Amino acid sequence: MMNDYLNKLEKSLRRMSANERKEIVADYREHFEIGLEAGKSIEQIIASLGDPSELAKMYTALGATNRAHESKGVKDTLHMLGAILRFKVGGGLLIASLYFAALSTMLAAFAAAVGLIGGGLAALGYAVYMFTQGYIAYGFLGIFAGLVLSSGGLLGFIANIKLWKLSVGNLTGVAHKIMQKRVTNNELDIDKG
Amino acid sequence: MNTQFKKGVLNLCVLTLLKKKDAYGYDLAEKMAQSIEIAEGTLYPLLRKLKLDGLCETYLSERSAGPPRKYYKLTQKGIDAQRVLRDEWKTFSTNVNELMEENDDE
Repeated sequence: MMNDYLNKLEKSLRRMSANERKEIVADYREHFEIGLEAGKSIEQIIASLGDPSELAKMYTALGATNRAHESKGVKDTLHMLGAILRFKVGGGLLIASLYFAALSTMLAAFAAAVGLIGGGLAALGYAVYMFTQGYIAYGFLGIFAGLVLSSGGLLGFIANIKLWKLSVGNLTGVAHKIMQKRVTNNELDIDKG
Repeated sequence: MNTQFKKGVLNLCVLTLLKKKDAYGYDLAEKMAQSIEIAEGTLYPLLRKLKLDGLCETYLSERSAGPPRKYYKLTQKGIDAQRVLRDEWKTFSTNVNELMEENDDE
């Protein structure tokens, strides 16, 4: 029964690193061992510990938030949002929607930039074709259009990357603060049963 | 007991217990459960967070019989944090008690 509990905990912690998982499970194993030494029954210990999958959600939210805060990477931030939503932290939905809005705006802007670059390359191709056919004026027009389009696209692309880092970093920062406050500081679901 | 009351003082209680002496998780969980009725399992995420925030650190203590136990020890940062929280709590609880005494006739 103790192993059932620890296995369930370990399984629910699948989104954490192997190292963290090992440490956390070891904490609860120690708790069981000391409790048994002190003469408590397995049932008593399980009842006083609380539901392992709820505990795992708490750890996952805590771990994901810290990782996202450190790396500010997209993958870590998406993990964090998943953890926040599963843990039903107040404000989680708002942060997630803001983040997805930012994400889709950025993706659209990236697509537009790529489209511009593509258009520019096409125009350059057209220019080369026109030169080979002897239409010099059309060739220069093509080169001009190609350079304008692709440099515009390239600038847009670079600006997007900067903007992306800024907005994602800030949103992760806000999410981290909320998690600190709500999940791990004062809003733990600490009640018995 | 009112859940909202407990949440606010959980940190303060753990930091205060650790300030008195280093302790292992089970010991802390049992003491906390006695005084403010928490699910003992939720103490470990809190301890993990205190460690991540640099308020405490852990070490393994060997025993003559049985596996070693993981002890928690406050850092200087943890001691400072306890002092701040304790002062806030004292002011807050004194004010609430005064209000109760002055206005609650029962």
